[in-house]
Amino acid sequence: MRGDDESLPPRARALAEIAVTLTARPWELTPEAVAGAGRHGLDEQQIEASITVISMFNYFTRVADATGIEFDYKTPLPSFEPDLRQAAASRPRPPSSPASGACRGRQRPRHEPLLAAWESWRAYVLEAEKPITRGERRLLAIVAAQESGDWEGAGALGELTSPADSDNPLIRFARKLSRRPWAMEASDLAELRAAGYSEDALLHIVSVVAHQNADSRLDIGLSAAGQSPPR
Amino acid sequence: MVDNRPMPPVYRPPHGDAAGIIRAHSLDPELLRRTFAVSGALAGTGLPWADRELLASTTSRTNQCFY
Repeated sequence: MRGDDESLPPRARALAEIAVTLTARPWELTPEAVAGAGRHGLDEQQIEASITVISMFNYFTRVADATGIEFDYKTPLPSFEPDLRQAAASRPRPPSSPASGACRGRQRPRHEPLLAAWESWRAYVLEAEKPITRGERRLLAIVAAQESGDWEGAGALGELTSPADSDNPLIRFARKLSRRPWAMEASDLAELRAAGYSEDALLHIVSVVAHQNADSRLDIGLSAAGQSPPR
Repeated sequence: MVDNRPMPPVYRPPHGDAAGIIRAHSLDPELLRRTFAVSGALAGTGLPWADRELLASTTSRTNQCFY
């Protein structure tokens, strides 16, 4: 299913367009695109939930691809054949001035149960003290935020103090899983094992990168929703 | 409202174990609980299931992922 599929009804096409853009090129999502969903009957809470679903599936797909899980179910539908050679979108250049503390603030769902669940999840993913360190979590999250075009989020997490990507397996892993999750291979995890990370640590490394990809898209999507013109 | 209908057979993995995405998180039950709590919280937002499925499948398709 693509965002430009003209066989889709208008409401579905508006939602698919948001999903495609926020997933592949989050930095290109416009308030007008989000407003399109509103014109087809979704209220503010449903739009907020839509952006959260897209963000969550940017988490789940990365966990699935990084850990190599297999399809669980039998289905009469045609099997999906992923295009593993798909090129990733070119990333935008970072802004000329570094992200400052005078930011607009992270955008979060207003639906209380959803907000509470998201913040609880994020706190655990970023702040747990084991099996990887908080410093390693920050490093992974900064790279994932950068790859999502979330420069403000990356700046709020800190600065990369490590040398070039090629010198740090965590940075290499985070960049690949963020940019080309469909290209993940068993060798990517093997490299981290060889660097001394346990199986528990691998789960957390994957989880931090996938979560930050979700969190950056949540912030970017809700920001666009907040700026969309009134219906 | 919680719906206590039995899980339809089509949602039961034929291998008889938990779904792979659950097993992938099983090394850390706390991470598993907090992650899937977000999915649970989406249930109260009023977003129709059909829209939710469309958004999920389009996102997965865009990421070239079967999940």
